Amino acid sequence: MPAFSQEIKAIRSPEIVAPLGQPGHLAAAVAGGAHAVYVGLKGHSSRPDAASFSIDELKGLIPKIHKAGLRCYLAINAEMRDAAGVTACKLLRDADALHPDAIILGDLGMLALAKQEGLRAPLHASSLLGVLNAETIITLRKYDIRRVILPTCLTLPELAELIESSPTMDFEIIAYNGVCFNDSWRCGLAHCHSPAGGFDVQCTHSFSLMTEGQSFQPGGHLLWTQDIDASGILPLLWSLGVVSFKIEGRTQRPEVIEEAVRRLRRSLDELATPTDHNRYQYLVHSSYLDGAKGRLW
Amino acid sequence: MNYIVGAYDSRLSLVLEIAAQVTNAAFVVGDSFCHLRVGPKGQFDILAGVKRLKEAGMRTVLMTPVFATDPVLQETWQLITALVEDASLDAIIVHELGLLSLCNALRKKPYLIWDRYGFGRDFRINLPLLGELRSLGIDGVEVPNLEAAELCRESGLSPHLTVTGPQMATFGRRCYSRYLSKLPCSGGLCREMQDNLTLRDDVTGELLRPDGYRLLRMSSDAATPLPRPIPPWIAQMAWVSSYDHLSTLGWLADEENDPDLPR
Repeated sequence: MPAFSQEIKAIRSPEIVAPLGQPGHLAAAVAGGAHAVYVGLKGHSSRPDAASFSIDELKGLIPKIHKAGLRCYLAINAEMRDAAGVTACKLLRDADALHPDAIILGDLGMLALAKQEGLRAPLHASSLLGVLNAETIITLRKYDIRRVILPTCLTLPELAELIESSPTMDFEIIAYNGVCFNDSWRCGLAHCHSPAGGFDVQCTHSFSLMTEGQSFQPGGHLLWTQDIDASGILPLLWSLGVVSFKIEGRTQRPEVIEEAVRRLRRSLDELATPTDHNRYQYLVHSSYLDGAKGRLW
Repeated sequence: MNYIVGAYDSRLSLVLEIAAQVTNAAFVVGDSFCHLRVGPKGQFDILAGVKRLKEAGMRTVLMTPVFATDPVLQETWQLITALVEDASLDAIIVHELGLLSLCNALRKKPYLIWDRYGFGRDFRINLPLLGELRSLGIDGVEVPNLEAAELCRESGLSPHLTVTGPQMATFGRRCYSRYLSKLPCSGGLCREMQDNLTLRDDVTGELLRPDGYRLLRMSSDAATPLPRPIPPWIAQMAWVSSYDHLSTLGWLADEENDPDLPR
């Protein structure tokens, strides 16, 4: 009978994915105990170019990430800026040649081109694709998507149902921080600085507001909520079938990222300890995977 | 389908009044975010409404929910099959691959429109995307400008130019009005709150009402400046609350000088 931790690994190893928006983030990710990092391709990621890397920069960076023992996921998840799509195929080929452990895409046109090009790297569906149901996942399989990064608006029961209906797909969630809990591109409220100076944010995430040292209360209503922090329920999320826990924050300081990684890693490491709680979670997870009700290790 | 008109106040009498005065238009029923925000009290029976519009000789378009979780998708799918079979629904606005896949299985497939919520954060159009949408069964695509409309035409798809339309103001999929007021809603809460909670959107310089519909300024131009002249191969999409709004959108003014257009 295999040890608990070994069998977890045989099912699917959970991982902490840290942001890497500057070279200094690598040391923070390693120190905190991350298993992987994600980087953005300059001009083609959903974050500012200052927190992304060019192909040439990645040629040097990705081997360093691998040498540090971490996987590297490359985000090309902004919508394609080249309307004619002429440069997209070369871009994908160049990205693939960097040997990332996965390429994250958020544009349906890019997905189609990636499939056509037959890339070596596994493909992950960005949260920007807004995957919310099993039918969409069935369609995404046609593009050889191996992992879906879920948007932050799903409730736990919805998340559980979605994962259960797609047992062979890997699922990643944003487990810490997060740009906007509204899936920002869908919400019509502004997220911006006021032309008059200062913050004029009608709808934002708390870290954005609070780092500026103020909250915004139009009409006496407080318009912010708590940061995303799934560290307290990581075992539950893993038992539901989430295998990857992502930290947002490519523009954050390295020490903030290190602390976030450490926090999630502590929670994840508790999974490897066969406490009564984990035994229960494992039972749930095993039942969900193969229907073997009541099986204990 | 030259015009697609959504009435964000979907009282059937009002919709019929607008419909009677606009030719060559299709009418949107349903809402992308919450059916309860359509109409003063959110009371609009979609199936009955579509039947009435069809009886009045109008073409109808169903707006489907953006946040299509599995239960929502299932419910939407049941509605669609009923609307197509029982009421000859003409078109469906879809935003995601799951529902699109299901719609392709319909025996009598309606015209399918991929709208802005099917795009990412920046609402960018590109040819590979359009080609893929076409191969997936899409017939028309909502576009933000003339350049995108040209790409659409090049791809063999019909462009639908956004004039004005519903947006969303949500907190993690929760209704903005309910989040703020902590009140339950059985329909129309956001409309009751609109005088107190009008927001300013500095990104576009436009106003956004708490019900999520872009505010039209009655006395001036439409929320989005229209390119002129609008080529006849571009359909226009707009949401209005009364017949008077149509003229503020500009298209009737254009039509009045064109004797060839049907009245």
